[in-house]
Amino acid sequence: MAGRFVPDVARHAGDAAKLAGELRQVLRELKLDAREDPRKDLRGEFTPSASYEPIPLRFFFPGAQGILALEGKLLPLDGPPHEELRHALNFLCQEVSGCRFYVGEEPDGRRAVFVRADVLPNLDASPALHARDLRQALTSLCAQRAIFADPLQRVQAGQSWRFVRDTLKALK
Amino acid sequence: MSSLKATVARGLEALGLHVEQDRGGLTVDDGLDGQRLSVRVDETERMVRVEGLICYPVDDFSPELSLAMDHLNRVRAGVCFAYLEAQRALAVFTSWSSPVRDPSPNQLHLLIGLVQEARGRDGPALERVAEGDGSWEEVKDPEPEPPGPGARTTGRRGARFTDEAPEFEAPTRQLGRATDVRGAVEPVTRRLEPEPLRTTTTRFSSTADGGDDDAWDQVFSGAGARDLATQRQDPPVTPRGGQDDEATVDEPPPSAPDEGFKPTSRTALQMAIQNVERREPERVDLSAARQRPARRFLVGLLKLAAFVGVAYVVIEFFVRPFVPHYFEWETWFPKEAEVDHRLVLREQASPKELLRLELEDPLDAEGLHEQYLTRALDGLGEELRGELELLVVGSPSGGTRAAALELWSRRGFAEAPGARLELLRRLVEAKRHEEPAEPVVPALLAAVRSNPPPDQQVAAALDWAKGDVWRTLVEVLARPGDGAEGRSAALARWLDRDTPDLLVLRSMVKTGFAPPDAATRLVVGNGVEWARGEGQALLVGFVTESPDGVAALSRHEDEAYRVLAVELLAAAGTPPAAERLARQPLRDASGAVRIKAAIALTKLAEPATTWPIAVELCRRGIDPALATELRSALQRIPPTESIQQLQPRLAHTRSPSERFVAIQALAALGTSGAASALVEALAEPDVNLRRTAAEKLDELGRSEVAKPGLNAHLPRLREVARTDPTPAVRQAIARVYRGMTGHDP
Repeated sequence: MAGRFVPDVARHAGDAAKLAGELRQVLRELKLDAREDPRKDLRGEFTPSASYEPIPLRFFFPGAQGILALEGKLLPLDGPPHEELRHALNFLCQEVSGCRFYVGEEPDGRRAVFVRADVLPNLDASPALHARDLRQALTSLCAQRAIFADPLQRVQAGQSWRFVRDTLKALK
Repeated sequence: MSSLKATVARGLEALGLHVEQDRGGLTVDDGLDGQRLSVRVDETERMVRVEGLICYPVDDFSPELSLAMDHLNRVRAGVCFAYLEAQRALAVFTSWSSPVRDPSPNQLHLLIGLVQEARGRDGPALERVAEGDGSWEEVKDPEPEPPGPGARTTGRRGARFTDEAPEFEAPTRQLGRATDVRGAVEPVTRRLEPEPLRTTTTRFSSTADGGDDDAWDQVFSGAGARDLATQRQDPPVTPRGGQDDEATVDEPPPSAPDEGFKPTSRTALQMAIQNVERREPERVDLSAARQRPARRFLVGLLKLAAFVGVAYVVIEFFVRPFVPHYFEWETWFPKEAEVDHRLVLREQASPKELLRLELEDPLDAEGLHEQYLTRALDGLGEELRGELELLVVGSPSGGTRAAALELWSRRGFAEAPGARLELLRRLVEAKRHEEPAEPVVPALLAAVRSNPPPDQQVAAALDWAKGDVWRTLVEVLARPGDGAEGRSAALARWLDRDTPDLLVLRSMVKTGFAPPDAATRLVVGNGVEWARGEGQALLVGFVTESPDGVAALSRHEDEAYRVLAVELLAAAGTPPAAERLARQPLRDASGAVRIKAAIALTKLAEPATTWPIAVELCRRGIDPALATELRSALQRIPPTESIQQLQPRLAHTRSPSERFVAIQALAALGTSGAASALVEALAEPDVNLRRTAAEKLDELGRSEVAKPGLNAHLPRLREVARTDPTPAVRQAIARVYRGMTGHDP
């Protein structure tokens, strides 16, 4: 009934600690070897098949909530992000459903472009994090890297952000 | 309504949301403040996407705004922030996807709640950053991430979503009052009159692109409020026309109805990945190269060459050996039988002509050749010799002349007396001897050499002979034996016209009747080297026959010639040559000649040279080396024969000097026979000679070699030792006797 919706993200996101255990289980199912880093985030590499280059991943629960963040490194940056790269990343955030693109920092402080997919836990079913959902998200990250790493590299080198747009148009 | 979409719609309604369909998908609002969210459902990808605008308009995607949104995308969970250039608005998205399960109520709650939370929490800060009123750090949380599960969002914005009375916050932009922080007047671009929503259609499809862009644009481009979070109602506004041309570099492209930002589907991405993986190489049209005429020509040539090569090998090695006649020209194009026209000529020719024809061009068939030849010979009869000789001399062809000569010889005409020389004469007259590669003259000369004609004829032929013919005839005369003197005499007529190589003289020497100075003339004419080389045999032969022939050479003023004379005499080695050697050469003024002669005498050991050697030994002032060599020569002569040469010289009728030389020579021999012969000299009437003999015997008596010869004469020795009137003789002989017997005589 209208007018009775009260958003409560914290309650509906679940417990990060509990979901972390489920995450490990799912990673084992996916035969993904993840190790904990000093920040308690899990790190590993994933590739859906031998034809894909593995993507370095970080698994974490932002804000200690149950929403699982799958962050993959797209390409490293040698220097500050180019003006065109901002537009390109913004464009991809609009266009690529389920993923976001941004410039972040690696543990050693170097900048890089990351692609991220967040998985919403299903608290009404078991398991809350399904392996196939996770695999689908990870495969999507691999796909983004395979498709956009090179175009973004060129944009960072000074090419227009429209090169990324054209790449996406070519895919469609 | 499709299944997933229906499920989502039911789920959202169950959450207390008002759900409406439109062409783009679903729109959701809470029915309270008019916030509307767009919900897109993709049945194929099994994806649900919720989108909400945060603020509008945002004219510039500034670096600060980009940093702010980057930061939020990095730290916020479940939401994605983006700047929509076409709408000039900031938007926030959430999404859900699962291939195996439908969205659960909590997931649907999260989809809506995350958007609303983001708008409420981050919207104002983003707006300030978009306006340029603050840096990107406005969006940074003062504390870390929002608290864990169970905690409620509080704060100004958060209260809006609770049951508490919301705090109303005046919008940053007042409708109707155009403000622009940059000072420019901002026109009112939103119509406040609500417009009815377009009729939703069932055209909402489960396409991969996620929905219809038109409805989406209608919903969100029609947002009139700058901050949608504060507006109760957002009248739709038609999309602005006159959008900036996409041609402008920094202007965003116009959002055409058939374009727009379609979310990328998973299927498209997978297809893109496959395309990337396929990595097919560029297709190059190779047919263009193949079609070039030059290339085709060359390829054709290569193929032809290969075919011809293979065909040749097959035919040559596998076909021809079995059927060779198939590959002969005559098998396919036989020649007409040729008629030998020569037969016609021969049939028509006279015997003379026939002879000439057969000799010039003999028929290949042996039988025919003989047949026609015989016919010619028979036809010529007595004239055959004349005709043959005419052909031998006159035929222009050397082959014909040779054939004629052979036939002439075969017919026995060469045996006729003087026939060969006569033919030679005619050939010389015809100057055939001067022609190069002339076959007949050499053949005739060879016949003359092998079977010489009589010497008179040959000698007479010297008058007309020329060149090689003359030389050959001279050589024919140069032989010893019967008639050699006559041949030498015949040659002597030509001595003054001798050839530069002294052929005549040499030929005379060969006859053995050469002039006395022949050797000298030959050596002088041809040189010492010739004499020691090819001429040595000739000269030695000459000296052997006539040792005196080197007399002039032995007296030549040139020492080399005198040495050569010694060599020739030594090479001859005959007793007369040895005697000759022991005379003049031993007395030569040159020591080299004397020594050479002495050495030669030593080798010869000729008894006849005993006396000359002895005479030289006794010559006063003789060279010691020569004396040694002569003694050696003397001793090489058999003692018996040398004693026979010397002993007669002891006779009293000989001159004292001769008797003296004999005594000295016998003493020099030193043999027992010489000692025995020397005893005879004790009867020498000449005191001096007798004393010399006694002294020599005294010397010989000390030699064991001579003692046997003295033993036989002991009584004589004792008598001389007692009775010789000369004391010196008696004493010397006494010593000899004492030495022989051991006691005094």
